[in-house]
Amino acid sequence: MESQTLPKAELRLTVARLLELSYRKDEGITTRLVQEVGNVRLAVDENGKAQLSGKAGSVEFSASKLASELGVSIRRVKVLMSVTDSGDIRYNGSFNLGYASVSITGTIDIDEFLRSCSGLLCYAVRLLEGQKRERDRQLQKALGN
Amino acid sequence: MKGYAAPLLLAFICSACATAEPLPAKARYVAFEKALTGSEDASPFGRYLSNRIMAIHEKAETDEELASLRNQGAFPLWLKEETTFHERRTDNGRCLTVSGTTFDGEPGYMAVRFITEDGALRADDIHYNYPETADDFPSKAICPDEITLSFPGSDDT
Repeated sequence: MESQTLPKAELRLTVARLLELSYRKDEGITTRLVQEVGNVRLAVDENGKAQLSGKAGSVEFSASKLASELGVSIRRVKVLMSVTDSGDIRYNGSFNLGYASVSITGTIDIDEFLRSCSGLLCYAVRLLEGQKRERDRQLQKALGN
Repeated sequence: MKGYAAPLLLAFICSACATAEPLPAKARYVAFEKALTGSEDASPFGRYLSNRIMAIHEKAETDEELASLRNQGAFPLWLKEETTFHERRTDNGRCLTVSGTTFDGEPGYMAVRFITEDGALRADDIHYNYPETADDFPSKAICPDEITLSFPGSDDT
């Protein structure tokens, strides 16, 4: 048996996907939230109801399909972000998986994120794809090829 | 002089024995790891996870859901390399913190709360943590519920 708990790349991808969902719902407020220096809170409850909030306002959106799209089991998400004056978002996130939980610390380059799919989301996807390729390579090696 | 050496050495060893802190939670961690990676027991979870967690496993409606729940509980497999561990006594068991390199090659640490059930230590709460670097590994044993979320650079939660 090997551990199949959420890898870090998938957790980072989830944070990026949630920001993207907020961006799709309300581009104006989301952009202000992630660009104005200060604290921003992102939360998803057990029903997939998500909210991004901070001094610039609040965006509510649905993230109910996110877990199934990622193929992972996530019950609740809470991410506390701080937008720095250098334009980065530093965040601490916690993902409740059921009875266990996993937390992550990370940074998002907000300019990259706002460049639509050329931003963090695609970077995270590439990271994930690279990891899968590496797993495939290791499997092939284990299988003698 | 030589005649004093043996008694002194013996006294030192006995002193060390008397003050050495037993590490039962770490021993359970190692035993669970062996059970998960060995072939003797197909499902060792009931011996190492609490009745509360096993009740959650039993409510799984599909094999996929059960596999997901078991993955959460298979904490000894999360780290592929261990660098440090700490444990401490709690009211009804122990808390164990193990740091190292995770299965996906990242620095990580886990905090596990063990409770005493039916005379054995069983995991009842598990938290996995990916810090940015290994410099953020804890220097003492922490329990899962002591890991709190705060805004980066502040204590505001």
